Amino acid sequence: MVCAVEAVPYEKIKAQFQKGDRISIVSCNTCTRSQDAGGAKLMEEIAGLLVKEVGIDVVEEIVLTTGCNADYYDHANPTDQVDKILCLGCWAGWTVIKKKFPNIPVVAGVKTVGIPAHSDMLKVVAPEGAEL
Amino acid sequence: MIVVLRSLEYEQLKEHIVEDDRIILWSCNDCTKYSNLGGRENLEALAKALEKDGYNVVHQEIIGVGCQPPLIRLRSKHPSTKEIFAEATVLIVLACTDGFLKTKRVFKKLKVIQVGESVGLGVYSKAEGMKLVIPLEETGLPPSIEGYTLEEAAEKLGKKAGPIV
Repeated sequence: MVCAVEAVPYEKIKAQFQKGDRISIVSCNTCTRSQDAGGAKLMEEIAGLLVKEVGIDVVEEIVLTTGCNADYYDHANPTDQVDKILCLGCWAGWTVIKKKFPNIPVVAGVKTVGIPAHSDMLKVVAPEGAEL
Repeated sequence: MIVVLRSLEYEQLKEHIVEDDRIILWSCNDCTKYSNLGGRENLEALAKALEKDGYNVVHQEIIGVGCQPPLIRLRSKHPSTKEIFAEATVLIVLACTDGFLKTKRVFKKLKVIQVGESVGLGVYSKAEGMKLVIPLEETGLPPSIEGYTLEEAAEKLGKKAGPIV
């Protein structure tokens, strides 16, 4: 289940948004939360900062049990009435959102480092547009 | 989720065991089940096939998440499974690479056989099953938002997808 991730620095995330942007935020509650790169608490913190410092409009916040299960995202019935989506899931979770909303920019707020293999780390390939 | 494929065929698996072995079958019930390699039904099918071929399967163990050392260690210490693992000789593991390596580290006295291999990150849906979207760098496959089915991924990587029997 657990892929290795790290949070993208807030300043890099902040730079992806502009005043007045209508956004939704989607977070995985498994791998990214357990590695302090996602989860409800962090999502609230980032949302608050983006509202205060950038002036965005957070239309919707979604926490998924696992972001790499597309059925969970469908079940959440996410809106497409946004300018951008901030993903606090791994790159697999990022593809779930991108597949559902190919025309909406999806900002990856989490970097996927790889898949653990005991003491080694098996590197993964970043999908185009996911790495900030 | 980790996409788990395999290199072993059933006949190759049998080359690693003998009829006198006391065999435990072990499966992760998370990523490996979603990759249709592990899970209760696939474990049961493997047990039946091995028993039919004359092998001694003494136990089947399902572990919720097979890459979590505390859960693995629990099996070696818990009163209900401690003796079973102490008396076994072979552990056949249906898990990702990480799950296999961590299991092998806990059960050092057993011959631990790897069946599954991690090949990247996947997305699961009921409609489409597991699809590989973020391959491991070492595979040479590009990422795909649409994803590769397990069969497509296996073919491209020279591996096998799905249950071993």
